Amino acid sequence: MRRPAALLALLLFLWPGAADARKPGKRGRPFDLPPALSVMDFGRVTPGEGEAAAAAEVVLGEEGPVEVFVSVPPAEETAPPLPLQGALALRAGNGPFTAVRPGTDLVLGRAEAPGGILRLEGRLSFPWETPPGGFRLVLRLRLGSAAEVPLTLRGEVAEVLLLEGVPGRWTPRKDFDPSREFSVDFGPQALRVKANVPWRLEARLAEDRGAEARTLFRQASLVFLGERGKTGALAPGRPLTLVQGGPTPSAGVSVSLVPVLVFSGLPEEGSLELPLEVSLVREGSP
Amino acid sequence: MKRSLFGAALLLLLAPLAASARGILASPVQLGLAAPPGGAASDVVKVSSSKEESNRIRALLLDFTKDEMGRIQVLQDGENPRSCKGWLTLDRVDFLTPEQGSVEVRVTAHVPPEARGSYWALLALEVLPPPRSEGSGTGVVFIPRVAIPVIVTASGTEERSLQVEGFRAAYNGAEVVAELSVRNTGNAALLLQGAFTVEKPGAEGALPEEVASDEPDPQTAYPGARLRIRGKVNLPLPVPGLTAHAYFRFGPEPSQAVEASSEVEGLPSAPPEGGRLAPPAPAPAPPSGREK
Repeated sequence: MRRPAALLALLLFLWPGAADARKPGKRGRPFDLPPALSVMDFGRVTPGEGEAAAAAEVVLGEEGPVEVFVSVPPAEETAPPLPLQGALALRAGNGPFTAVRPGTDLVLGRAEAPGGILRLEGRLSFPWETPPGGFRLVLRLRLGSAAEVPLTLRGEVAEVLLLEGVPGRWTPRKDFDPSREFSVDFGPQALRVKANVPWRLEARLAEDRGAEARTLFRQASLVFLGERGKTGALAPGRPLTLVQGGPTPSAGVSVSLVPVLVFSGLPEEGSLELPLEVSLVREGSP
Repeated sequence: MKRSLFGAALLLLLAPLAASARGILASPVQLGLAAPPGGAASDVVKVSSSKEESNRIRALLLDFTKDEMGRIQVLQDGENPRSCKGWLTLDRVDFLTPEQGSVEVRVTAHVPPEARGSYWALLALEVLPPPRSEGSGTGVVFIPRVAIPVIVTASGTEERSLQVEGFRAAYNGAEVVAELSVRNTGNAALLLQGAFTVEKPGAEGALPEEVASDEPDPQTAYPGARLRIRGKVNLPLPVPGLTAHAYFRFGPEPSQAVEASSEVEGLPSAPPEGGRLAPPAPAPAPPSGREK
């Protein structure tokens, strides 16, 4: 009980205006946050990819230098509970950026130029797992002891897909007799998928990618092996769903393919290529 | 001779597979552009590498359709009567992603004056494989890519209409698997949002009581296409006489919704006593659907 009282006394000693400043509207120094300027619009923010920036401007009143306060609502009072699932930092004027946490009051700095424009800047980032959709967070902004005004932060967490693999050629690892039917097992091929939306991984033999592909396409087919044996075979003109899933953890999910090229006749002499497109698409809409 | 040459060529092809994996990250993963006939609209797709490395990316536009299950099928030129591929332009088609940060690919749609409703094409972003070298042999060229559907709508010309073609719900021992078939009979792409519910009859004169429900992810129905929407409603305590109900909206107006109902097939003939009953084999029943 004693410690908070001592801290308050120390605070009032170091910052005589603090007691009054904590009472919104007591003295009511005017300042203006025009509706058109009272929004920090972050636009479309890609989760897991650095910081997005936005700014708002405040028209200051005629009174002298004042502290700039921001009140951040508790996380449970934001709907959805964003954006503080990520990291948000704010600054006033040329001051340093200050990290913002839910349920806190912050002093961002001092507005030194009465009657001028105070620029407020925000930086925001989201972790990969953040579900897509719009976000809106209303902060309470106060200059000195003036009444609070709302400052809206808004934007949209974008949908993201990531596919990682080894582009290039899968080539047979052993010799074979081309005069008979045979198959070539290329061994496990690892892919990695990351997504914050439902996804589907589709394979397609791209017979439209050139004469060589068309030639080989007539003589070969490609099947995929899974843990329980053959999982599917690629037929002309039809995609094959290899695997599908929901939003992934930040490390993504691994997908292992074991492609087997089956020749049904004697391949032509020379080297031939069979282009295989493996496409990651959003499942569901659109 | 031919056989030995081929075998030898393959032996030379034993190139190590363990090149480093390369990845492509794209956001957003679907684009919807709207402009009045004769107008233009654009948006950007951010493309970056999955790791701190530079990747060569190729962007290309393709025609596609989706089958009833939502799988993308790439089409040859001219096979999609509602293709907007020819209206779309990309500000870059062959580029390097930086080791850090991203590249923006701007997609612009120039909507012709005669356009009505929605049209679509596919933006494919693919990591280019190394160029083919002499004697690179027989094998499979693996091309990873992210495919982004682009739907362009001639705003102000949309005709939104959806028709139910069938609805079926069957209990599989743990859940009710519901499937609603609809056909987009208008000219605009429709985003369908809704739910499947399982209901038991209410007391005499009362409304049915909801037992459980499932909200599938929103689905887009393309003009002229049939779409099957599936849901799984968890049903821990099956009882006879349950009905399944589907209700999906495709716009804000009260008339912009479809619904259908059906008896749940495969339910036990008597309520469980102290445990779950094994369901009888499901018997197919004709679907009943109605448009609201």
